Amino acid sequence: MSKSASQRSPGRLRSASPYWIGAGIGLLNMGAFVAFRKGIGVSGAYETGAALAARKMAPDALRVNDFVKARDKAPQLDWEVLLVVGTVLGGLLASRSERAVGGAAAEQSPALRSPLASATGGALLMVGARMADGCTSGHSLSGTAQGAASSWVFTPLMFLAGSLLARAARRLRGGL
Amino acid sequence: MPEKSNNARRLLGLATGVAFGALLRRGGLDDSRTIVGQLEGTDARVAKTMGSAVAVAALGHRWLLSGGQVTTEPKPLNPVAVVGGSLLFGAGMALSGYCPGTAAVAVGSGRREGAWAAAGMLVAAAGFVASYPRLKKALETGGAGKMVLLGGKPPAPRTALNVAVRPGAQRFEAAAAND
Repeated sequence: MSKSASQRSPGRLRSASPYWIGAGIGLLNMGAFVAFRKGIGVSGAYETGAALAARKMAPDALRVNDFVKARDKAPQLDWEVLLVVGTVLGGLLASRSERAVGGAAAEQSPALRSPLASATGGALLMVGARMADGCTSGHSLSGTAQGAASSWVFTPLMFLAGSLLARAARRLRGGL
Repeated sequence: MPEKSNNARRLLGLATGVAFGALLRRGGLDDSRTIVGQLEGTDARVAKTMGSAVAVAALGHRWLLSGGQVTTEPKPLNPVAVVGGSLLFGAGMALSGYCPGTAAVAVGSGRREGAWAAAGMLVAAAGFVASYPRLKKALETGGAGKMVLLGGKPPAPRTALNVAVRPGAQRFEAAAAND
């Protein structure tokens, strides 16, 4: 079995087994199903966060009233938004503790794409996520686990589109 | 299980997020190279992580369903929205090397690429807020409802409880009926 990228680069703390990480996420999601009657989802929180900011800063320009009517729900600083806040915090705490036990001090991987490319990619995927009302968490982790047809359509198609594009881009750059 | 108070739910949400972010970080999924590696076919960690997560959650969900402790909450199968959305999402993920969750983790672990991706996501989310009212009808074209695959349990029908816990909804429903 070939080594993962992190195992090949010296001085970096090896990432944990994906199976254990995945099992942990699965258990976490079970807790979410019970606690919130809804699995882990992330893209909705971006929309809610944007709507909350829009309501404060530019309610007319961004037509927040129409949005609230169309969604049939006012944006709130709810558990879903705090979940994403927590996710940022979790990344921070985990990376700090890794460094404390001897992980690599230099966290920055080389910039493989321009900030514009990163932002454009982020924008594209968020449009897709909000169209589909879910992302790799809401659909691919939570929806699939519940047998949701929409999620079982979303997930393979998303991977297919992403793979085709990534491989084409790699070939254009002269790799693979 | 009784409805938790809003603050308890918020705290639980925060805690769930912290655990989620920490797990993703420990799995190396805050690195765009991991995600692009999966898409290019050179790194299987994303598939292994998601596969195990879904397997555990699926078994767990079935078990909890049989105990009456959870419901099934699928997103509606709106073909235009789901198919179109999945293609755009895949493209964006290939371009940025992130998804909404991993970008959040990357912001926490200090990765510039993740921060730029997240910024793009927030801008797009704002744009979506502004456009959603006009897009809604098109997105819901040909919708097949909240379908669940064979073997799953369809969502519980709307009961009085479902309406009572969303007191604001009745106002909007009345407004929509007058449109």
